Amino acid sequence: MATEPRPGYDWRGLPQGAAAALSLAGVVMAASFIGFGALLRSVNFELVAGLATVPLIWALPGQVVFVDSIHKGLGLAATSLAVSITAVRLMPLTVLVLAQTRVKGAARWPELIAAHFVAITLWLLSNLKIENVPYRRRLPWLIGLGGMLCGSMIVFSALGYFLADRLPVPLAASLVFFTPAFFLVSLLSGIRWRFEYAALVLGAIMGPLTYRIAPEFDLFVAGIAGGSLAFMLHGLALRFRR
Amino acid sequence: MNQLWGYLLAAGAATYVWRVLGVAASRQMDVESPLILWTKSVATALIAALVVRFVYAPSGLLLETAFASRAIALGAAVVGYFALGRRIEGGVGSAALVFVILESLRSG
Repeated sequence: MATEPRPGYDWRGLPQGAAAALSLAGVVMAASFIGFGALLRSVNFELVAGLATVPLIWALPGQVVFVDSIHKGLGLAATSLAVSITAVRLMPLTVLVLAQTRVKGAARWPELIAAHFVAITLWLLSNLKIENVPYRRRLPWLIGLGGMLCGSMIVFSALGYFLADRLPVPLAASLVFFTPAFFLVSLLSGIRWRFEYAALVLGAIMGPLTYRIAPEFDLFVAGIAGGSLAFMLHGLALRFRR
Repeated sequence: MNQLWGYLLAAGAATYVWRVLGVAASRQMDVESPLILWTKSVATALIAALVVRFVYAPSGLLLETAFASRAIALGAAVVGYFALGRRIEGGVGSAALVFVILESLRSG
């Protein structure tokens, strides 16, 4: 009998990740999904299908675009394309999240499950917390965290659907405003390199500019252009220091 | 009814494609490689652009609020974060407080 453990994941990370969902990020996300539920109600979207967008799409911008497209009566191809464009940003986020979880020789299929749960909040939470999670527990931790967040947000969306007619507008709008505030502050707190400040500022400046030129691709263009410029500045700074 | 679910499955698949591409790409990279740092830089700029879009081109409920409330509250998030010892709660709390105060002053 071999005493050496086989390379693999430590699934005790799964319940730990699920517990990590109870966080400020979780509360902010819940506020956003209550807002999403209120949106479903406001356009008379079918409740069950609306709630099903949570686990099936699992990225709030994509869900909002989906509901909006159906509401406008767009066709299958146009709707899928619009949702897919909002999802492009999930590719770099998936790369970044999974880069922190690699275990040599371990099975790769759980990465496909974790990838389904990747969203901005998951990336931000993993940036903040995953350093303290032992390597072999990280992927299970992500799946536990993502699964718990996803399941809870179905409930919060339903809550928003039923609260929609009962909340005063300023209060409901404040719930929605939690999302950008949280995204911004989490970006700041997740910064490890000085050039990331430049990326943040350049993205914020280029966003409105690209929105004027190409409103469908504004985030994508601002991200690539602003992020690349910041990264080039980083390279120049390194060269000058030497 | 059935048609809506067809749309939903198609939209879900159209989203998942990017996640699978991310899984495939991540297998080629190291955590501290220049490619990962560039990717992080792009993601940071992209989210920053998304954040400011909530201010200058909001949708849904935020359309009912003032541009000034949204802009000032976002500024309060940054100030609150640094002033209160780099705490996320400090930043988000400051933003929410300033936003609610400005909006109730406006409507009240």
